[in-house]
Amino acid sequence: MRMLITGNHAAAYGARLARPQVIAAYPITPQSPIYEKLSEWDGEGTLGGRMMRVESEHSAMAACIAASLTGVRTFTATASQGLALMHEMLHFASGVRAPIVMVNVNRSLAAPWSFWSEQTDSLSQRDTGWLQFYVADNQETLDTVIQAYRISETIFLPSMVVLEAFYTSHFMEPVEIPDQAQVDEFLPPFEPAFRLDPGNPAAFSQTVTQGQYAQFRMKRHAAMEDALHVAEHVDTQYQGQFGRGYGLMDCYRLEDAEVVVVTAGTIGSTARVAIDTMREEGRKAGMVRIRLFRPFPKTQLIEALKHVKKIAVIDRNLSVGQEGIFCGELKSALYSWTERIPVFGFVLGLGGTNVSPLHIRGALDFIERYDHAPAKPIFDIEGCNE
Amino acid sequence: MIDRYRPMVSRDDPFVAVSWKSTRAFKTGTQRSEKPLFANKVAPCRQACPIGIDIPTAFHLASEGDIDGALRTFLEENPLPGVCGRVCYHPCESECNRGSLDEPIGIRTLERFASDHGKADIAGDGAADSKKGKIAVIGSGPAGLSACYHMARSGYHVTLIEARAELGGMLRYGIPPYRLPRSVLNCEIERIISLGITTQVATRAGEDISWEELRSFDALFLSVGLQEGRFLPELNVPGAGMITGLDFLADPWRWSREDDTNKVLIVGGGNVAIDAARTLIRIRRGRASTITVVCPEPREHMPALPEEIAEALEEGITIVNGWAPHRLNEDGGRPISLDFRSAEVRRDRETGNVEVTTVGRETRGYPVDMIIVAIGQHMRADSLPAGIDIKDGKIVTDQFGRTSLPEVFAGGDAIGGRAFVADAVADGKRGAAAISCFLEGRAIENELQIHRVGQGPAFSIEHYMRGGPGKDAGSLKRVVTFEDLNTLFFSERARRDQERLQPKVRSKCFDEVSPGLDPSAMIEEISRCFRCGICIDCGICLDFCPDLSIIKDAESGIYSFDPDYCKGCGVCSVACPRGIIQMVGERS
Repeated sequence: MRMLITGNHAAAYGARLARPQVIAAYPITPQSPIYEKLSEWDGEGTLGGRMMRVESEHSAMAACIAASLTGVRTFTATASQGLALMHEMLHFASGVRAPIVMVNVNRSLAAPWSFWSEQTDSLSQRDTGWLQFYVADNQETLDTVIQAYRISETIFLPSMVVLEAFYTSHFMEPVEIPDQAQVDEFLPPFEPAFRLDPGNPAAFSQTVTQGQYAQFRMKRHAAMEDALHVAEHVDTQYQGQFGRGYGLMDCYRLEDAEVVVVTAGTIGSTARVAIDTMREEGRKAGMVRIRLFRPFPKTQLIEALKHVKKIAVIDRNLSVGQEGIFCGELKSALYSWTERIPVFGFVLGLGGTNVSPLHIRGALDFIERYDHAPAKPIFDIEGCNE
Repeated sequence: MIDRYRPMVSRDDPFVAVSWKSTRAFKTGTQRSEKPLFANKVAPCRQACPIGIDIPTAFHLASEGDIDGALRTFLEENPLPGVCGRVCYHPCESECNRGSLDEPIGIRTLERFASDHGKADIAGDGAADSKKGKIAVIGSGPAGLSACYHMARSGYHVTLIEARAELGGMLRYGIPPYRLPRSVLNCEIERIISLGITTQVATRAGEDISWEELRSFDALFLSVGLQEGRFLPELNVPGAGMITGLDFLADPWRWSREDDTNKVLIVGGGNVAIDAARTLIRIRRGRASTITVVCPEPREHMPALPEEIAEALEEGITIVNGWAPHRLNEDGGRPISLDFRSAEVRRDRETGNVEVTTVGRETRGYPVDMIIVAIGQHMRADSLPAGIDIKDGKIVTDQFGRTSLPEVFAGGDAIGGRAFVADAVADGKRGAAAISCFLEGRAIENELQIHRVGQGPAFSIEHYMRGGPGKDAGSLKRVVTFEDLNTLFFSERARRDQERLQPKVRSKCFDEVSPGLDPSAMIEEISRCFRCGICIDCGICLDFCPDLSIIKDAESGIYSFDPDYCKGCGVCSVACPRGIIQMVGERS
């Protein structure tokens, strides 16, 4: 069934198709329509699972963790400040290996107060042990939520599916809603590895020795590494069943490209337009949109980019005092390859400001002019401010 | 195929830290730096009550449908709930914590309701103990009745001497029946006497029975009251047509004409003046045109209860404020008019004495056929044993009611202080405790402090008689404030007040002004009470404790905490609606 819906509602449909038994969430702009849609279904009796009203995002995550340990599938959604409030519980969720799936709608963090798109909220949770998927449109949102359950429940780590405030969350697009029966076939019921039985409770995440702690950390890291293969495999299976696949990254006109934009989220859609225009002019431009940020697909990226001459990373986020976070991550990944490709870091679109095809062109024009990339992020591209 | 990435599920080498042993191994109590203290406290209403009635407990029992239990709770401290439930000035309601949320609870309404509808068999409480002493109580007003009641309940042999033909003192001879029906009064007196008290009515101490004989009792309690009304000192000695308010109220029909042809002036602004005016209007079947109350105080400072003044005005009585009598014009020994001058009233802050001075030369004359003087009372000079100290017309006592004679104690109007029923009952209670201490060799100073209700005027005689210092004396000392409550559990609701008869109806008869609250409205009013400071087993703390560390004893129902697991987070203390739980230092 094809429906014209927002990215938020695509997330809600994706969640409902996965049949979560417990949904604990707290409303926050721009994520609230997800919560509202699920509540609406709950009111109609068509949700299937149980909505838990909680008093904060911290409690929402705590509730999901406990529920997940009892062997039920859980879902939550948040944004910005709500995600920041959850931070402590995010470590817990991955530490107890609870395969929770959460949608985070990127929104700028206070202060000052703001509601628009910026990826710094989710990227700040980089080291919490959660898988992070950055999606570019509404269909990809729905499909990624369903895939995330399958991946998370295989390796026992939680997943975050990341949308962008208003660009994805509130834009309406035609979305293919899969049949429930097909999704059920793709996504079998969740079986926990170690079940928490409320009638005979066990203690999770109790105090351990230094050595035991180190072992658990390494096991979590190993599971993350496995996640790359699992994600790839699940995506292939999904494509086989539903006809849509995305890969770990979205590569566009990359085969013979000399100058390449690397980005994530909706800027990737914009970049396609700019690259098509440049290709018509005979210029060898291409694009890589990173979908899976954690675990970071290092070898896959090297493989995809090793033939290009220069790279422009466009980040809608900023690690204050360093640079755009995708840029830093990419540089780190490329360092383990023998050749050296100049990587130019552009920080554009902060606070939800527009990144137009003109910006993409401008960035590629800029890197063609210079042999060496500056050590600092580039915030302004001459002639690109509308 | 992707299942090969699924981690091995092995209990011996789990990939997640999990323990299958009991979580009780984790004694989280070691993290605690503060601990919850579960302790009942004193509600501000109880602290404000001159009699120290355990009001929240009465409301709690009533809320469970136990009206008999509520009545018994009132009777623990107060022998006259039916009286006080009607005429008390209810300082409890001014201090009620609910007043900070919406409106105070109708506490007096419940006291009356419990008395009207409840049953309490307390006769068995008064088993006289032959080893205990014999006490005589002189005067059967509220102070005397209270002393009798509490001493009889403590096992003393009590003899009550009353000069008048019937028991009750000012309750019978001063308070009109439309405020206090005689059936209610008789019932309450009967309950007190049934404790085994010997009564001698129409027996005036010092005349019909000698003080020597009375002094042969182990102790005496003087509650002789102020039986005689004062006349106007500035004016001539009374003649025909001028009587005191007390004489009038004792036998109003004798002094009244049923028609309104004679003009009556009532001088004074206290309850006696208002009672006289309202009694007269009833005798005249609602015709108020020739009844006027004149007093020197401004309306807002009149000593009468505000509700009495309001009801009198509703009934059509004219009250003139700010004037004091100046000159009486007579004709052949009968008053024909009374002249007034503008007046100022000064109240001495220390003694409470009132000084009235006239100002200016403007004179206002009122034609009169009868003057009722209600400007205060004094004691009969011959009603006391020889050698007792008297000052300003009052028996001199210390703060425990001890007179200058060793085994003689006193209370009520005869020793001064506030002239309300509740205060007289409190005096009688204190007298009972002081006599019991005197005869049993205990220090009344200590006892009253131990059993004092909060920082208020009252002590708990129930606590004194049955508890002793061992029975959680602290529960009488800690007062629960509005801030101590968790008012999230209470929503705003309007107070239910009792209906009153229409002024046109009630001013023609002596029917009680208010018939009391009907049971359905009373239930609503009872449910408004927070029941501050008493644990009612609501279980909120059990629900909120994040460590499941609150323990309720299966038999006693008493709450405590599990020291092995309570982290001292204080959530229970914040959640408790009634201020029972407070966090205290770990070592306290």
